[in-house]
Amino acid sequence: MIAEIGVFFLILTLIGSSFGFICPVLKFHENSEITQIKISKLTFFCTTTSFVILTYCFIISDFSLTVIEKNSNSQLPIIYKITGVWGNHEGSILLWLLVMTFFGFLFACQSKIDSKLKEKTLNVQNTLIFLISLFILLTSNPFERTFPPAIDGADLNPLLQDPGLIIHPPFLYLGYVGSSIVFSISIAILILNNNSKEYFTILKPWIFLSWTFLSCGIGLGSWWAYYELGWGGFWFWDPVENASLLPWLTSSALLHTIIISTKKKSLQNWTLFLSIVTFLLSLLGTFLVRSGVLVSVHAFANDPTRGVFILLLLLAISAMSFFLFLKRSKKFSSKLQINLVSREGAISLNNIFMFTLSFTILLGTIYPLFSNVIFNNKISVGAPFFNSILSPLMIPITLGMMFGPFLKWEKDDIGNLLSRIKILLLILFIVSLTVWYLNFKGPILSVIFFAFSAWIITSSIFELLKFLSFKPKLILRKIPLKTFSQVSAHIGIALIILGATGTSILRIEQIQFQEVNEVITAKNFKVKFLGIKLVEKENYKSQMGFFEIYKNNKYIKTLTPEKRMYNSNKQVTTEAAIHSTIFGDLYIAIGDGNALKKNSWTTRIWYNSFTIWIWIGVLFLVLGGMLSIFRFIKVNK
Amino acid sequence: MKLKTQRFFKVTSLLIIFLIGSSILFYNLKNNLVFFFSPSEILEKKISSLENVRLGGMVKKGSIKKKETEVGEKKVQETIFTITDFEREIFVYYVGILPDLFSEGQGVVVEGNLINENRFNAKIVLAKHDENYMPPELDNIVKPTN
Repeated sequence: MIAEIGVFFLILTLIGSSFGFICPVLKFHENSEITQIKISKLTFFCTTTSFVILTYCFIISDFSLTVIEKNSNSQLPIIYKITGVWGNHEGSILLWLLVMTFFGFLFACQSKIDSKLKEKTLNVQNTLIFLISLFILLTSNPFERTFPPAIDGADLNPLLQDPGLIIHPPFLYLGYVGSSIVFSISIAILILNNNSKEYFTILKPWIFLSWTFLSCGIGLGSWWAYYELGWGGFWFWDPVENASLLPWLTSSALLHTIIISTKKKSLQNWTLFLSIVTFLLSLLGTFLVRSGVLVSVHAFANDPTRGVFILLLLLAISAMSFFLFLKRSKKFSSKLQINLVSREGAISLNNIFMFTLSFTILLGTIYPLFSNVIFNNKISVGAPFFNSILSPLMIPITLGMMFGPFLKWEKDDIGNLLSRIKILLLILFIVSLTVWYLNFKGPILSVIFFAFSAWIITSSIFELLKFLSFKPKLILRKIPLKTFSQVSAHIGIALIILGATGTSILRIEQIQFQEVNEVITAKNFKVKFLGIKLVEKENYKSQMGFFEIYKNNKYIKTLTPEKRMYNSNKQVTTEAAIHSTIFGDLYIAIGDGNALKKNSWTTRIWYNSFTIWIWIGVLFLVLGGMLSIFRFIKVNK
Repeated sequence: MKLKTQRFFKVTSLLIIFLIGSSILFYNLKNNLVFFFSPSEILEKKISSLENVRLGGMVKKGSIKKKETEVGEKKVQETIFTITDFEREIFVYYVGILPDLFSEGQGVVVEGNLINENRFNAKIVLAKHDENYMPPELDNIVKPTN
């Protein structure tokens, strides 16, 4: 019975949101701003109720629902019963809708917004909500019954039974779907055909908000893949990973242009364009993940009809928004010339490279699809392609991050700039020598990227030193929050470069049959294998390996990687064990036992340099984003 | 006139940059493509043993053999199994740890080189996240079993 109430609330969301575009067309009400606000609140309430009901059904293990029967199990620990809600297609799309209504609700509650803009934005947002709820009800209703009801469920995919997966999808969706409100505001600005700075200022915090969530979501996903999949890597250039990276890249570009658009009315059309593209890329990502058109390790069992629906949605939304954009963009293009050597110039260049990067990644991701349709051959584009594109583009992006912040607005002069930062240049030279001295034996590429990372960090810190004055005595002037957030985000990127380079180029891998008491050396670690023990847990049995770790012949600790076999569906998963230090991770996974010899097991031991800095880098990025949002809240009080 | 020439130079230089960029891009793409074949296709096509390709099909029941071999000074596990599309078959040799969901009678995709008609050296055995998931590439090959 309760499931039917869930469906009822979903239908209510559909009907409610349909008024979002019916009202303005038929002119039902005098005051349509209030109507739109009410609709936003109503749909948020209805979707939340529906989501809570689905969660409740998961908790009480109502196996008469198809979704629960397929994705849950009575033996499952309670926390995974709850996360099982978004561990499947239907539930995760409902979460998507919930987040979308949540952003509409937040925007509706925000005061001090021009009422015309508010009305139009909510109008667009409610129309999007209508489309998504229609999608849910037509193709992926989470409350569908199965008959006869099953006695027990098939279990949640064991890979998803992991703490990382509790928070990764919600954050990713907050970022993905957060771009919907950015899209709605941009479309509203285009409809109103008004290029006032005030409108762009309203757009700004939402960009920062969705970007922060997206960074966090991608970071968490990468972290999960690193320790859960047991492949020892953090990024595989898999189509689904690329799908999340694309909107991140365009919204990173957006973060930079919005600053100019609010400051001096230039690049406004570019800002609007990027807002639209970011949301479309999020939709594209959903299409790629949900339709299963691409070969991806992330592809979970899927259904082509859904893919067709999302594709139609994507085409319709992009056609309409680009048409509107082309019709109105003239109003938003400025006559002002942008000087190449100026802050604006640096930001524009950064944008060109960011956009090139996302375009090429997009090309590499969907090229196999085209190739299949046009040439009828099955191909895939491997990691080398993406690396070969990313590496050269890192050069201008790094230079921009280093020197961009030191450029003056409007017009600057290279000679002038050089004399302003001559101390920095000297320090950079010393830093480069140090990096080279520490790494000169390593591969040349790693030295270059480590230098990039060190350069960005140095110049970012140098930026803060500006606020230090020595005369008459040492005083630290107040550093503005925006400088802090920018420095933090740039340092974050630098740390990610450091970690990614270490983990991919400098990794040491050892795979072998390791006998009990045999010692394997990886870098300055010694790994001694003690044996395997069988351990039984609530819903799985585990073969647990015991490894003693010695560093420079001193005992550190014992690591216990596992191979788990889940009771309900006999699926096997590998749980790696990781010892993290600031210089690198020791990463151990176990494989099969040797069929011919007793007490001998396949073990895989990696030494991944500087991996921990990837996660710390993500933290810096998120901190940067949060400081910006905090600043906005403070200003608006 | 001067403005016009200026604009002409701007447009041409942009065009040249764009052309150079996209040709580098497509050259790169072309070099990094990995083609996918079924056992029948790969045996028909005379693929060079230097070319990196993907091979997909079913792991033949009862064909998985594990043994110990030596790489350098280390002892490692080598797995030999047969990939079939129910018309032709190929022996696949793989040194390393197999993904968790690898088993007999299941669909599999491997990447590596075709050494000769009987032997495919796999560098990667592709893992997947879900036991019910079948790569779209395998769809036509695997259906007959169900």
